Amino acid sequence: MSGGPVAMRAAVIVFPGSNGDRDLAEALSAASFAVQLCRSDEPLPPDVALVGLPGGFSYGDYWRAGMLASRARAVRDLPQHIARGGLVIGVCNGFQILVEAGLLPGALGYNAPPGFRHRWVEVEVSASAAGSPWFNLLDAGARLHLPMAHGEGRYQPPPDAPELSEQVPLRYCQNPNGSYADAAALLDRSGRVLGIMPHPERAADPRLGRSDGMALFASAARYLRATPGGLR
Amino acid sequence: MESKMFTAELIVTPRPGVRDPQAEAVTEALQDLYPQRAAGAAKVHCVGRYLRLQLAAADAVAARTQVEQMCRELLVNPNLESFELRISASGEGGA
Repeated sequence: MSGGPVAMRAAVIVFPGSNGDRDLAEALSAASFAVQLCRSDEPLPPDVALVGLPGGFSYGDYWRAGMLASRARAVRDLPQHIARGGLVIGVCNGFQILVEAGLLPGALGYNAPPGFRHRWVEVEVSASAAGSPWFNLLDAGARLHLPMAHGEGRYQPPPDAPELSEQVPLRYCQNPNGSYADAAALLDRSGRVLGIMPHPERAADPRLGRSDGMALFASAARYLRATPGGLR
Repeated sequence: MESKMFTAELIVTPRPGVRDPQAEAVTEALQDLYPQRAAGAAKVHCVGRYLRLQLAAADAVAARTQVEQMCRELLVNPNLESFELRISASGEGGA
């Protein structure tokens, strides 16, 4: 369709203090996306099907992790991208930015017990992943090994929230940070917006350990290939 | 109405009932540092953040309303945090 978004283009937003932007771009490229790195203070390109918010320490995590980045120009364009049917992934600091922007419910607090943790963790795909474009190559019960590296990853649902566990597609097999419902990731109600604390993009090349994380990017690519012109 | 300068002091702390790992860590450090005081060991109840800003408003009530809006829209995350706000008139000429 002329004028419509091209299904396989992706943007990775680069914030001041991002450090996982290249890794995310590499992993998306390996999943056959044409990736462009975009400055957070500029509008989102209008023709992308997928937007990635990378890990790092945007704005030095000043005041509250993700808070300052959540007001950046490119992030303010995300609701429109989502309304069009676009996909979004926020990894680690990107997840923090998505909750601060109100695009996912709840918040990410300091790990409990306290401390920055960086190690490989095992996560299990839950039944809630079914139907999400991010998980169509994974069955419930599948386990992934992914690296985590964060100090503020304890997922806290909103105080007055209804049961959110049906929005948790990945659960830690051994909860490393005190997250509600062992949540390692969270989906919005559409299933197209994914926030994830461990780093799938750092488990995207067998030469660097494992490539379990590629399943998410390959799932997203498969979904978008199956819906050409599917974005509104 | 002529506006005056006010100083707002904002204290943000973990919402009651939400776990406060920073307070736990600082408590441990204090108890490590002063083991001889184990009987009356210091227990940190919360670790938070402090922000002071100046703003112009018609009166203290209007100043509070403005800062409360900033808290709702940006400075406080109600999922994790609660806040206290002190509003005072700034010194002559706006210090």
